Amino acid sequence: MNQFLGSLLLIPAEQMLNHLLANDDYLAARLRRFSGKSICLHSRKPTSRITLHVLEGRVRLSSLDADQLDLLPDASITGDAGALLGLLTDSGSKPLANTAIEITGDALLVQDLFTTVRGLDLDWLDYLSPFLGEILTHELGQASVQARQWSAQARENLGRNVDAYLKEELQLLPDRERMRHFSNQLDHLRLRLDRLRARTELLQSRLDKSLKNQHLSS
Amino acid sequence: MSNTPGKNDTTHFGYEEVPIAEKEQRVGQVFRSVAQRYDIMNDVMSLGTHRLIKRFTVEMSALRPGQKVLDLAGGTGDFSLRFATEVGDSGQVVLADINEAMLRVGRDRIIDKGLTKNIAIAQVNAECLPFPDDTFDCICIAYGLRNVTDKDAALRSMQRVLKPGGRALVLEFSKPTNDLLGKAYDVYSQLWPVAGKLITGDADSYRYLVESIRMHPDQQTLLEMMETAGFEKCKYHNVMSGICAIHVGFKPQPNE
Repeated sequence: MNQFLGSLLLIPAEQMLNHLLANDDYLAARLRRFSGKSICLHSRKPTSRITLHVLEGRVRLSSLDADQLDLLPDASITGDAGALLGLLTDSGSKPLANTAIEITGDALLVQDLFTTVRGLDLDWLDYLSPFLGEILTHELGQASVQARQWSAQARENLGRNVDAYLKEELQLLPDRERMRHFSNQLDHLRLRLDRLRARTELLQSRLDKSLKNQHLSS
Repeated sequence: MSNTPGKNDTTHFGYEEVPIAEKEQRVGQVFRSVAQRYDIMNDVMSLGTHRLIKRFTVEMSALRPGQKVLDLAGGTGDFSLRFATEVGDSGQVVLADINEAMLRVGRDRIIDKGLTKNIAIAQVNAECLPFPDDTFDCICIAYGLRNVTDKDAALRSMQRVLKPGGRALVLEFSKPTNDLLGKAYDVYSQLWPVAGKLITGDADSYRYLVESIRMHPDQQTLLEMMETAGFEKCKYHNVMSGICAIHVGFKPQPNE
């Protein structure tokens, strides 16, 4: 991506982060220990690059390469955009153990930084209100909750309808009970085959043994 | 071998050929005339995009707290204010310009913003900078080189006062790389004198601006000029398809 355009796209994110840091002493204190550190994020699909540089009391996001910024990055993270986004949004400790992400350099720093970021309990509306005003922020909050509910409901309905259509109307897919029955039958068959194989092997060994005895006695 | 121009030599002032000694005075007049409304006109002419370009240029300066930076032809102090945040209280910004009217506007802005702690102001000629060798970590000349009479001398002077390994940034209007955009930009820039007349009451200054942009060296020529002046690892970044270009060059380290 064009570096100038990349830089433009990062402006809102950088301003938001720096606003958070300026107004949240707890957050600033937690990020202070990363001061001076830099991490490069390389996205493969789509191809883009972000350099995150933590400074005293603020962060800088840049689309320029680390060497253009005279930085020797402490760590680099490479992966698809979705996987990289997952680093920030997934909760828990698993996302770094992701095969779609490649980390070079100080992996502990990456682990530490993302644990810190994910551990933050951010109320985005609180941070947006100075920019948008109380009324607009409240409306935005309501709209966001409604959109989330609608999206969850729509996803559930869609899933249910597609399920019914494929199973009942087209009969392309079996229902869950049939699948379970079929799976049980398969398990049963596999067990019987195992037993049969064991029995065959036993008979084979007996046959081998008797042939050997016959050979010795003759 | 000296490149010093003789007294009877001429140079460009927009499309005009004027004696070298006259250009400085006439450019001075232009900026004295527009100084008070300079920032408003920048917003009008660039439709606000100059702010984004300046931000990107500051990003390319890769400044660190504690560093010393020269904002050459800094005029109304737009860059100095941004640099001051980057270098912090332990660093220093020198806002320098040849034009006292522009500097006065810049000085007032800096005082109004309360950022006097790490910004010094100096009236200087870019062709012979009055600073010791190896003084600055970074020098930025934004939309200024075009107006300098002897650009090569200015680049040499910048190279001299830059610390070894320090970076010079030249932000200037340049040659659009896309023909269609170039034509649209040509048409649009013909409106600048009209806007200049309406906002600053001075169309001629903005006519000069349009003409001086046309006369300014293209990306590759400026790159070669920087290399000739002694900069190394020179590169340029086209911004908005070459309407502007940011040239970067470094002063070589002594052992290189």
